[in-house]
Amino acid sequence: MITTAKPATISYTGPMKRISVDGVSRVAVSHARLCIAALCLLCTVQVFAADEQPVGGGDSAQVAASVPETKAYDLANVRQNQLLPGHIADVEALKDRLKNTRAIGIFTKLAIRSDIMDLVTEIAMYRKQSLLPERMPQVRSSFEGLILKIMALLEGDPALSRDLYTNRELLWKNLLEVKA
Amino acid sequence: MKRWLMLSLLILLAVPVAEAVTEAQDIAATILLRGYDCGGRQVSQINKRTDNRGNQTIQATCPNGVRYQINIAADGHVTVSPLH
Repeated sequence: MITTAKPATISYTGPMKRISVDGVSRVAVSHARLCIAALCLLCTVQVFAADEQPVGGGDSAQVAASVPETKAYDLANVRQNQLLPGHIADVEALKDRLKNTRAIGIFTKLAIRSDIMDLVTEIAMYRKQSLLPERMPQVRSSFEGLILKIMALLEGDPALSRDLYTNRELLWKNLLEVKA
Repeated sequence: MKRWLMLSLLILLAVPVAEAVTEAQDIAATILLRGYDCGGRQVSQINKRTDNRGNQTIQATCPNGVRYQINIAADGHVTVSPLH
């Protein structure tokens, strides 16, 4: 049996066209609309993918997938710190910034290090003599004085000065944990 | 054109240098950190010497006229004392 196809009849004009072939109604979307829809979908997918990517860009996604979970957590912390000024997650980052700042010279840095070591030795001595709870206010005031001195010296690096002040409780806890 | 390029390069390179503290400022800050009065932010007449054990001794005069000696031990311990 030979069937002959009827010519398509267009019911209305516009981007959405209804074409009737052999009595079956079909909707044909114009090429322009399809392209726009595909582009929108692509953009949406990329935005969601970018939110899930670690700091560093697309090529680092595979590297980030291979690092342990702790490293991934550090990356998340770094990203969070960039978003929240004045908040530092770990003391090591703060130490590195103090070591590398150009606002103070090498002799001043050595003097600060020397002061910190003296404070650590003092804490260890009081702990050994079981006098630490009694002497705690005295040691704490020495620590606060040292922080204020460092802040005064860091005029050229106000961001570091602010971060030292806002994280002084964290530094204090870290200082108490150090074994002399 | 080349002159402008050189000038902009000089400015770019000069800014980080200007930010870093000088040795005179560094020594003055060390003296102030140890609680001594210096009368200014820069010292002058700096004399440095290092012994064979790695201990460094610096002598410098503050703007208020007081001369100080800074001893930096090989282990990094820093002490400051005024010279009479």
